[in-house]
Amino acid sequence: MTANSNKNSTIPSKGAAISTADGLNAGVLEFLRNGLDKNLFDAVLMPVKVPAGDSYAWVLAEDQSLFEKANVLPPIMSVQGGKTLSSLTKHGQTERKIAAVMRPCEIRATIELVKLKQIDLENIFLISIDCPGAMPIKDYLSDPVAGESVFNEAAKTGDLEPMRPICKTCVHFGITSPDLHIATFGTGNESAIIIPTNTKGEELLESAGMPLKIDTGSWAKGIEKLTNGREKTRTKVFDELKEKSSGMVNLAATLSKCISCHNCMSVCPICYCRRCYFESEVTEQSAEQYLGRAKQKGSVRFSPDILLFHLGRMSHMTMSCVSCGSCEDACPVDIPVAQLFSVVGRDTQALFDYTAGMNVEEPLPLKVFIKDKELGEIERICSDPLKGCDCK
Amino acid sequence: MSKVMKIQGDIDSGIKGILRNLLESGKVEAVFAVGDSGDGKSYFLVTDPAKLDGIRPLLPFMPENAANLLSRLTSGDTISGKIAVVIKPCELRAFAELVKREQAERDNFIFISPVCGGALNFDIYNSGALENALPEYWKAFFAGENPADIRPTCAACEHFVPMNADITVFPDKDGCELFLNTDAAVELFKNKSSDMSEGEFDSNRIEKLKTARKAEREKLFDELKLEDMQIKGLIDVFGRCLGCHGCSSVCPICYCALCAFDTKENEFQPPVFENELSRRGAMRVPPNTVFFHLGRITHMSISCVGCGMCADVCPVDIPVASIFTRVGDAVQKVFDYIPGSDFEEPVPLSTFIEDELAEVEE
Repeated sequence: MTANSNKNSTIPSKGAAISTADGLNAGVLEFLRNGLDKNLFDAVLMPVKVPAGDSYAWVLAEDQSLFEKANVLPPIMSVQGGKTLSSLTKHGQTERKIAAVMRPCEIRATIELVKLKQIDLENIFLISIDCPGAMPIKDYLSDPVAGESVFNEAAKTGDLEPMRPICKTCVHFGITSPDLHIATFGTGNESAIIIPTNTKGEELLESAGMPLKIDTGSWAKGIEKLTNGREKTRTKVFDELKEKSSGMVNLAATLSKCISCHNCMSVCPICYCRRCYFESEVTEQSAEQYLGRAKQKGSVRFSPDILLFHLGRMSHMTMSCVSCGSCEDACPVDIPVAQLFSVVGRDTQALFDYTAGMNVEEPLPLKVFIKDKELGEIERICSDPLKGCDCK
Repeated sequence: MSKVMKIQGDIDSGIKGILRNLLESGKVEAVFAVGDSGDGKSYFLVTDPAKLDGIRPLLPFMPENAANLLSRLTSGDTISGKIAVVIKPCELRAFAELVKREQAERDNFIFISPVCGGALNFDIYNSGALENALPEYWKAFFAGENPADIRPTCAACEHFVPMNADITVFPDKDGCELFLNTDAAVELFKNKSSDMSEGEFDSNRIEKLKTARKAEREKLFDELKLEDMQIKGLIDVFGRCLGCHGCSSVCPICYCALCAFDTKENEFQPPVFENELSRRGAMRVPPNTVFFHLGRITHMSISCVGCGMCADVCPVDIPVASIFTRVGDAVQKVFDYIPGSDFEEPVPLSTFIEDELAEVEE
């Protein structure tokens, strides 16, 4: 059984101050400019408003002119940050030092992708920010200007109303496993705290000339309180969804609108296979086989095998699911896929006492096997298979 | 002139009665049509007449382009018995393109296709208002007008009378007319020849809708201003693309098992992006957003039937279908080609006539 990663990450007691007198974005960008100027890193990976002004895209920049349009905490999550970093380093480490500013769930996806050998973290500094949630992309797109103010206002007051359903149940909105975390919740309007979680982070702040003078205690307490409240919502919402979607019949009903576009899979940071098994020839059948299936039940749905795809995908990625919500944002028929997968992820990860993306050193549960110790409670040894026993 | 059969009463149940007859009499082995699927709609392959209850053959909604599904059905081998397939005209055209591209088999399908008023869009479907929209939909269609809330490319579609259908269905307020266009169709109903007459469409309604569609098409194309777009315009339009490639995965014409734009060749090796970064100072990651769409256009525009699936699945509402239909229109005109109009006519890019395109070659 692996150690509980959720609880072993003790929060460092000290951090450095970042001035947010001109807003959080300006403060963080100032920190990044400073890092570039001092050659602490060579480039920054951050969300930048697209030229049309209606969305954000990840931009890798060494030129600071694009900082004007950058927003380190945009209202929406366009492409998942983990997926973005993977597109840069899946074929090997970069020689450039890159500072990447992301949401906590993007950092967690990044950590899972490192374990899955799809990201090389050499020369990458991961920086996260306390996350107020993200808006559904479609809500934002319907009026990007209004979206900005709705988001900013909600972020200020901690209002989850305009955020995605999955964000409303998120319990990892604070520090996860970056090199540096920027604490903002309850730190006041004037400053945020940048907290190093490892020597890489500590060294960076030291080189930046930022002494660790601020106590993180009261911020950590505030986060803990928020988390406890959120846990309750999460349990309630998840238990309801579980009840509603459990068993073949209910699950089939929940997924009945699926049109097999596989958008959920293609935007998922964890689904990294170049060709999904469920899109391969292996899953195709002959006309006679399809007709045979139709005759068995009177009819067969087309596209066929919706459940097989979603259950298959679930079994492949559930252990690493960080509940980022990208799948739900991309679903054209509004199936609550993120919530569904999050419920399953919660339970499968709990089985291995694992929380995806919290500790880069901790191996993926399915890659290790601890003889005699693991999963005994669900394995039940049959004492006498020939005679039969009470195991079921 | 074709043989015509008239069915009185509710549109769906009329067609369903015919499908049930065909199944029960063993004239077809299965029926392929759209129907209710839990809270949603999807296509079904039905062999048991009792299972036709949930089938809604003329429902003006396209959950997936049926050409994709028929390609999947026939990718392993040809079918032995006859299957009655009820699909929309653009789905039948996409299917013809796939047959020509050797991605599907035509044998043993009996195609039943309606004169099409357009498919209601996914916004209506997702809001749960699809069923409620139907009375107004049919009212507009019977009046020869464009119904509300159909896909933009449907409102601009001039090929709403099916091509290559064995049976063309012409829905009207008090029933349907079935035009039996092929020997195979006449054969299916030979015991009912007493119910048949010779006839043609209500050309007034067709012409009225055609005029409305033409105007809508011109308006759609004008508003796009594709000619003035240049690279800046393309970046504005495609800037919010998430790279999910949903447009390509639902496209009936994009049949490649692995899209060229999803291959390793399209990904960064670290030295490549490091060079790009030095050269440009900044770059969008993941790369090649506009490139993907332009690449896809060059691959499928000659066969694009304007079905509108791509726009309905786009999570960020890029009007991909309108753009692709517009480009398809231009490319198809160069080759005097209407995709899916003829199963025999080769796809232009698979043939070469030595003195063709002289006007653009100079």
